[in-house]
Amino acid sequence: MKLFKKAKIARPKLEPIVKFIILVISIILLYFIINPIIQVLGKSITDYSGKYIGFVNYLRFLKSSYFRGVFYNTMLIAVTATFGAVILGTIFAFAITKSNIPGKNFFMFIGILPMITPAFINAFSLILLFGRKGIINNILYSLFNFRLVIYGWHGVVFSQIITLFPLAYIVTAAAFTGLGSELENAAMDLGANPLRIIRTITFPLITPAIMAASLLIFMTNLAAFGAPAILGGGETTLAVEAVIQVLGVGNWQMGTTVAVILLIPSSLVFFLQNKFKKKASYVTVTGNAAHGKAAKLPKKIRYFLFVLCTLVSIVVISIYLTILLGSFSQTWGVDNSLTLSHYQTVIERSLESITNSTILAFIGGLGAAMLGLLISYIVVRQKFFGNKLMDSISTLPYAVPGTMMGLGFVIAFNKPPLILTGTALIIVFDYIIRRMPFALRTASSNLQQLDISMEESSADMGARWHTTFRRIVLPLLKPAFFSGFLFAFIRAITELTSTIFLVSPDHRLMSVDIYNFINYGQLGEAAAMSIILMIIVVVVVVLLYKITKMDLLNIKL
Amino acid sequence: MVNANIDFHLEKVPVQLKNLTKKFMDEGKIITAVDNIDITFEKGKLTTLLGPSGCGKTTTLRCIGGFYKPEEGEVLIGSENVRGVPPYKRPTGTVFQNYALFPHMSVFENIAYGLRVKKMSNKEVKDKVNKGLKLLQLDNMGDRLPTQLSGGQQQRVAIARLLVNEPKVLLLDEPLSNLDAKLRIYMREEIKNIQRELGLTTIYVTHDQEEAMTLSDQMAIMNEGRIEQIGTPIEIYNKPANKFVGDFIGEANFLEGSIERIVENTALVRIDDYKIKSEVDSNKYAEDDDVLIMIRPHDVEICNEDEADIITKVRWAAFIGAQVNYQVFMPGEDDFTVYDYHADQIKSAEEDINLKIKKSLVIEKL
Repeated sequence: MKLFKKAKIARPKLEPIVKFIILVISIILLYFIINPIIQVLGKSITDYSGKYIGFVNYLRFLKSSYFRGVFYNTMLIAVTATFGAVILGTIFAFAITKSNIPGKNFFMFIGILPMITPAFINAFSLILLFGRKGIINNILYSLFNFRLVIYGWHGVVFSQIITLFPLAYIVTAAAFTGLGSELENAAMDLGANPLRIIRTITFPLITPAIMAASLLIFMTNLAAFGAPAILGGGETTLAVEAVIQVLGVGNWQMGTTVAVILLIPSSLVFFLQNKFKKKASYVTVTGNAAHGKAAKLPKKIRYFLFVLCTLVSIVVISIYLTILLGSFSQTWGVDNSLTLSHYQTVIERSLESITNSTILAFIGGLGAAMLGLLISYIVVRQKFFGNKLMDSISTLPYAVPGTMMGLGFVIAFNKPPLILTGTALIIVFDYIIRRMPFALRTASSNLQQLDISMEESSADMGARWHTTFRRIVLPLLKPAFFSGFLFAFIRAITELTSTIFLVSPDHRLMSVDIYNFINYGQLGEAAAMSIILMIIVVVVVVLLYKITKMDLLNIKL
Repeated sequence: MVNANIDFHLEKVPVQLKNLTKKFMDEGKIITAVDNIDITFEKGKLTTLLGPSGCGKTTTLRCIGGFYKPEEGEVLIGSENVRGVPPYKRPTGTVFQNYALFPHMSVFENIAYGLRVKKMSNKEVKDKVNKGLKLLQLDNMGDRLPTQLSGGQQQRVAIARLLVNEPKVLLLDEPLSNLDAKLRIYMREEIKNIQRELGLTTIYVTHDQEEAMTLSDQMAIMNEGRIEQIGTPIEIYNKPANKFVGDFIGEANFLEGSIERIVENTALVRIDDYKIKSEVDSNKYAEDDDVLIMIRPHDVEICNEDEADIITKVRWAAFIGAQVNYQVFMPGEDDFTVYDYHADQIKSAEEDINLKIKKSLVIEKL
């Protein structure tokens, strides 16, 4: 056995063009991923004059009860919101894939809707409902002389659950469907009743998917900026604190230190996630999966599932309805007469943001999808030294919180050789780099399912690498490309966390404008802008769906 | 394969289907998957449901197992009508196509599953599972995970998992279809032995005729939701009820002709210029009927010109070792195959060939 271990594996010779592409990708990865991260790390161990001071900033963080409180608050929110979102999303997925409650198509739509809206819009809507001038609070006050306080960690958790339960829904629904019904039928055949089957077969088998969803949602919660910034009240989280330190106080040293500390739990989870994926998942697609359905569930359970799905739907719909109403009412909570003035103001003052956001997110989405696809083809199909490393570095932005990436970009591209700060390009690069891992993962998983013999046959008939890529691989990966693009586009146009550092007076963005409107108390304008943003997203989704006629939600998260 | 000294309490009962009909909705259209079938599965016997894909065989099996609810008709297990009884309360045990072993449980826990459902004591569970392991010669495999077993062992676990629950009927849904050819023959023998040994009423779904012929006490040939014929493998092979069955089971040539004369159970059938003696059911056919006759390729002999029923030419020949396959020209029919088992030499294309029909059967009225 030892003999074999030492033996070198012969690698086929790479074509010159492949070598060139590997070189270009390596430069991109180093310059746009590794470089910004190192810059942030570097800034956190210097003082304001740029002198090396070691871990003084970190010690200050650890010694300060304020910062420790921020850390604690971040964890509290992330853990609770993750539990909530995963439990809700899993039950939701179970109801839709495994039960026979009425209205499943509608619930499916509800489960996907929050995916295509900016995370912080949910938080904003909660202010319209439960804020100081919130309609529900107004009603409560007039009836019972009492108001609910939405500001604080509980409000953030509530908002994050609504935002992220769709992620858990999508991941676990795929697992429930992939499970087929054969194992459940076998258990039923052996005498187990439906409840017992759920307990002993269904849930144990989708545990890997639940774990995967949990880790992904936990990472997202850790890095979340919008909801905690809007709803946090007096308490901040690490992501918010980093922004306050840099943009509010101008303390770059502390801002970067906070960002690095946020990176620690985030990369730990990322590491766990990768480790977890390597363990064989139980989910197998069986040939006869289409046969039969799980038996009818007991009435009580079906009622429970139906009521829960209905409640969630009411919450989700009232969120959108509230924003819609808010965009048309004169002064929210005070003067509810209808007006178009908010839309007027938004278009007069922020038309440029609308076009900017749309164009930049479009270019960023395309770039992310293309780069992800190219890297995936190189990493999955070409054998070369550093192949695994390239894959890991490419998926790194997945784990790096947006705050850190945004900070890194500002610091790294504020000096030669490439000065990008204040340009539209820096925003596009941020979109590309941060959304590329999803496109990469999606393309890789599709590619691994494609029989390599098609590419070999193409080569056999004399096609060079680039011909095979263009004629065989690209057409076959079209679904992955469009899914990757759409996901990147949506995430880009609704993104706030890192672009908040990158916007400049010349290059404003819709999401940042909405955030600013909320902060200045211009709730009507914020609502109008949110509606416009959602309309753009919906139009792009519908158009792309009409053009491609593909299942675009097939994203590898 | 089976350790016969260990006995489970296995009851032998017949299974009866009466006017069973099952429909599905497919893209807005109603599809009748099982169309008003009647059949009795004899107690202690192995019956196969054989037919091309989409013929309704698996649907029938699932109606018996309780996974589908038939629109019409009854399923009787023994004397019990199981209408409305859910799968988990039926005395049936199903071996699924991929065995459906629970991947997250050990072999022991897989086999124990049904017993734990019945809330048996740990001691009882242990006794029964060990008995099941022993019966299927899986001793010492209890701690393994299903993924650590060979295909053959997985199949035995699937069967053991059912037997410990002492079912009255064993249902098998194409259990061999995912195995390679060699293992398939081996596993087939194993299933046969287990079934014979236990004497359990068994219903076996397959689309593989060789599998069905070797395993069955009784066969039911299905097509488009209906049962075309029920009988022993020999009955079905020798006296297929119609062209579909004759064609589906074994190799067959079909020729169109008309009956000139019937003497007892033999008809003289005119096909163009030829006259062929053919076995006939004289109750069903009369003189001057236009009919289809079936001739198996091995029921044709190459002979001298003066003994010949048919004189024609070779279309092409293929030597395949044990025999020579000839395709010959025939009136009105494209394919007519003849097997020659005693070839010293091979005739070439366009060469004259004289054929003697040793056996043929009037199979359908035209």
